[in-house]
Amino acid sequence: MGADLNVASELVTSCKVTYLDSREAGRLAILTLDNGADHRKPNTFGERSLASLRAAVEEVAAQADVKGLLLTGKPFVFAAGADLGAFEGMDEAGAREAARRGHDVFGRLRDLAFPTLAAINGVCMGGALELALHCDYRTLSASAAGVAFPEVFLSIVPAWGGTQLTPAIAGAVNALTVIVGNPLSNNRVLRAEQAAQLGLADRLLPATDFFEASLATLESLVTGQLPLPARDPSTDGLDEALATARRAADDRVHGATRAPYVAIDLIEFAARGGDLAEGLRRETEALAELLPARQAQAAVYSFGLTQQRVKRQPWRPAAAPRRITKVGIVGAGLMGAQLGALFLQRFEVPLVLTDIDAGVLEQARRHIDGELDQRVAKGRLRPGKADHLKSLVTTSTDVADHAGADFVLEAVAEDLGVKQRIFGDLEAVVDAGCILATNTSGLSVTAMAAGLTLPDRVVGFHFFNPVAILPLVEVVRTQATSDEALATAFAAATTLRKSAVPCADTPGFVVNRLLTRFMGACGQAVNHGSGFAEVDDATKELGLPMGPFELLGLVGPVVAAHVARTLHEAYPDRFALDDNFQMLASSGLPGVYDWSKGLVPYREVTERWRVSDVGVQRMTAAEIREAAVEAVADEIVVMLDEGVVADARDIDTCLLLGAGWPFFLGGICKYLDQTGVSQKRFGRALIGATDRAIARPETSLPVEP
Amino acid sequence: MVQLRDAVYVDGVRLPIGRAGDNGYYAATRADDMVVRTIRALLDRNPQLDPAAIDDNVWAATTQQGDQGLTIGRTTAILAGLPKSVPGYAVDRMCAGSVTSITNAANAIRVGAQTVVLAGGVEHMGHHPLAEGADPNPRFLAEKLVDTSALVMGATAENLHDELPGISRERADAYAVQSQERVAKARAEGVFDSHVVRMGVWSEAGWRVVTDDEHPRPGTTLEALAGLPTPFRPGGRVTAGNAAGLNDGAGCVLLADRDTTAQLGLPARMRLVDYTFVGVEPETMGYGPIPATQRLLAKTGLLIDDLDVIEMNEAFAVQCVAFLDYFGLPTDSPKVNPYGGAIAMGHPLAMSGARLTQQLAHYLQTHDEARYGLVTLCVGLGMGAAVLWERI
Repeated sequence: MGADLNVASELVTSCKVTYLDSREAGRLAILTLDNGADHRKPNTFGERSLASLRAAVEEVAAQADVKGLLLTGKPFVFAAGADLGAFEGMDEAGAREAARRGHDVFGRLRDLAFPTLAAINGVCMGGALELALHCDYRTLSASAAGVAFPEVFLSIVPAWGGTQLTPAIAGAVNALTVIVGNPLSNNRVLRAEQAAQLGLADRLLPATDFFEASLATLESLVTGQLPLPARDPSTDGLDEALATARRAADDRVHGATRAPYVAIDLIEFAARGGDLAEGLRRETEALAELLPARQAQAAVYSFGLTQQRVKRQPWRPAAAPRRITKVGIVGAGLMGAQLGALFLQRFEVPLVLTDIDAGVLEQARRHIDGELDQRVAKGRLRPGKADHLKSLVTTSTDVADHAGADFVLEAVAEDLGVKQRIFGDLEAVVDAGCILATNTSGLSVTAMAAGLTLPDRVVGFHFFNPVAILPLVEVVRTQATSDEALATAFAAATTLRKSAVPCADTPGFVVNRLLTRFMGACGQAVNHGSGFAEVDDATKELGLPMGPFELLGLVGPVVAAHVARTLHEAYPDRFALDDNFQMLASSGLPGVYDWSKGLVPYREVTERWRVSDVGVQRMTAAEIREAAVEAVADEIVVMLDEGVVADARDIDTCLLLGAGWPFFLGGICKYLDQTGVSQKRFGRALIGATDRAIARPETSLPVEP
Repeated sequence: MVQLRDAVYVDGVRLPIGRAGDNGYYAATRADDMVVRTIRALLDRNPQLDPAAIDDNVWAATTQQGDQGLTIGRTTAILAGLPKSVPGYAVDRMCAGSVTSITNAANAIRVGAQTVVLAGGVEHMGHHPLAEGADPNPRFLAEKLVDTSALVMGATAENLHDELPGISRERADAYAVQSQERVAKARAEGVFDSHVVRMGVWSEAGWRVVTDDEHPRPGTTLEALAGLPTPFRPGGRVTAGNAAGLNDGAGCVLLADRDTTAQLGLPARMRLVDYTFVGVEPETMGYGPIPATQRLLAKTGLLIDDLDVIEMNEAFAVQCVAFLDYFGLPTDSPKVNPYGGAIAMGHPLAMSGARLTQQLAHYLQTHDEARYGLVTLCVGLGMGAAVLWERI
């Protein structure tokens, strides 16, 4: 599917036709897909684009003497698939018509009486890949930027023949991989050689003279020198592959979106010899069901947030960011070491890591060296460059070594006093322009800066664990934070290839505040007699990648309990201090589950977890889900009133990128709006049309009304 | 004198020559991509050649900036996917650019420094108009080092007419018509198929494939030419019809040590015998081929009649007729430009030497009785180039 949401009306991809009188092969038609923009706006297919394609195919078909057809894209781009802009708000009839229109036009191309070749010269996604599969033969440029069927990621299915033709051409097992498996694995996109290996292309050709080599290939097909490949895909291992795919879908989405299951059914139909016309009819019905459904609509919304809104950084102040030529990190624990490795590899400037414990510093250095060595081993980094990067790292127990830094990030344990002292020590050694950032997960940034001579240099810069994987950074601006410090934080996030969402200096910021509230409700369910795994399963049916108690093992009970305490102190009415969690934090256990046994709680946990008194009803799965979602919804309304973010959309971005909540939930606000929860509880939709000012509270702790 | 090795011409290709300008073939195509296409086509035609065995990639361009800049011999080696171990460099002698690429490459082979070398020339005059970015030293004019007309090629051709009153506009136009006729005939006979390779080019109409030269105007008549204006001088003789055009093109040849061709299984089509470059008065630069050829004949002990074929660049008809007159050859001599020339085909400055060399090779290969062939060009700022080849 496409990548272009920002055009209100369709940017039409014209299909242009030229002819070549080939000495060997006779008259050949060359069809070029071109939307007239440069490679940053890939070709897409909306209604008018399909009409243009149809006209071009009809024109070629009407020529008596054409012997072959080559279909290709504008420079660097084949096409990115359907025009996503048209998906928003599409109803059943519209979806059915969209599928039918594609089948009709692509089918016309497929029915041409002479050889057709798709020369895939660049990015080829979704509907564009389906178009290519309707040709008799595919050449693929070795430097094509990405080949994929992202439909299932967007909670729809390929519905222009993809589910039926892919098994027929590449085999059912490969079809399951590209149509279902990859989209569910963080929307994995194939490199050209992987796509060719999976049978999506017949010939992988160097980019250098890709067009001419593709043309020569078409000539060979026309003259018969190169026979059309026989398609007899194996169905070996089909049953097992189908079962594996269905299990994988359960693991990923827990039934919360129908798309992967429907896709598997469609692939199975084709793989078991289903009639093509009937298969296409089923595709049409599938799209008519899925596209108007809330999951697909939310996914399109999420795509817009993460691909466009957050990347454009509409909140970034105009001030010039400070140029960063030296970075400091205070606190070399697990988080500090990960941050060090990230900053070093992205900024490639001198990095000073300080800690009070020389042993911890040594471990951090080993962690960084290890990450670099791994990249060298994979051939992604030259050994000389790795050595150079290692040489940029200084570890020290003396904060004074941060002298000369442009950006120092503290990542020490969550203790306000310690952090205040560190910032004070830093201010004594760094230049006046040096930005001081904190990775605190919930403490008051304002309070941290309070004792400084220049509190305007302090900004919150909150990462999520694991740093290398979760793309979110919450950027926290205090009352004092200068535009330069804020601009520098946004620019740094871009350099680090992270998505930065600005939020107010309120306890727990966005993600931790909501997850803690969510966890509170889930803890209540356990307190009312449900098992941990029961609660996890109940919430996973929303489509969450893991349940709250699984997540707790990842975050660590100590950190979670700390955040819970901070939030309790700020908002005692909504964030109760659950003794069970405090017990768990002090138990020294890594979580409730003993991972060595699977999702089995430690005996110590079950024994010591205090379940509420009699008279409390054990909750059903639906009740658990409802309670958890409502708790989150309530908190969101408070956060919006407080001005924690500019709009509910940014809360969704945070949940998508910082908590891994699924695209088809649209974070959560979209879901709450779609399902009427917002309307029912608050009398309004959460997602607004325009941004509002983010709060800059004067005092660090908001007072409960 | 040390014994030199034989540098031989193995093969050569060029792109169809396009008209410079927004509607020309290559308006939306980069010059370096054009170069890459010729290198790849040459390698495709000679699969027995291991690209790693190429010792150098020598490219001429008159304007060396933009898509012809950054040492185009090196950029295009990388862009063409040659192993990174293959070096490259850029040369410039304006219209004799690719001839200079070829003689440089041949010399490296002859002295034994290199063995297999790619040599070519490119000019995208649509992207780089004549003398783009040039900043002539004011001393040229202040000290009267050259005449004011010396930097305007058309004016130098008018100067040549002044000095050679026997060459009227009518003779020049007749020569131009002959060039058009010879090109049309050669095209019909498939002469250019031996070395012209097609290219897919981007245009507003989508991708299209260019296969034939864009510049020729078959059917050009004397009457039509007679009506053309003389842009360089009121009442002058030089017109767009009896001069070469403004064009885009790229051409590349593969040269190698003769002994090595046998080992590599490469054909050896002709060997470079000798060459000359000379200087002449800049304001009559069109004389260039005459002293260049004269000196080369003297060096090699050959007479004009010993030459079986001459491929001469047709910058201006007057310059060609002057050459023919000087050597006592008839205007319609069948051995001079037998396939026509730049007046019809176009003249992408630094590229033309490669085209002339390729046509010479074709002639020698298809004429068993022929032995010696000459490539000659006039060059801006008053130079002449001549290269003598012998059929193998």
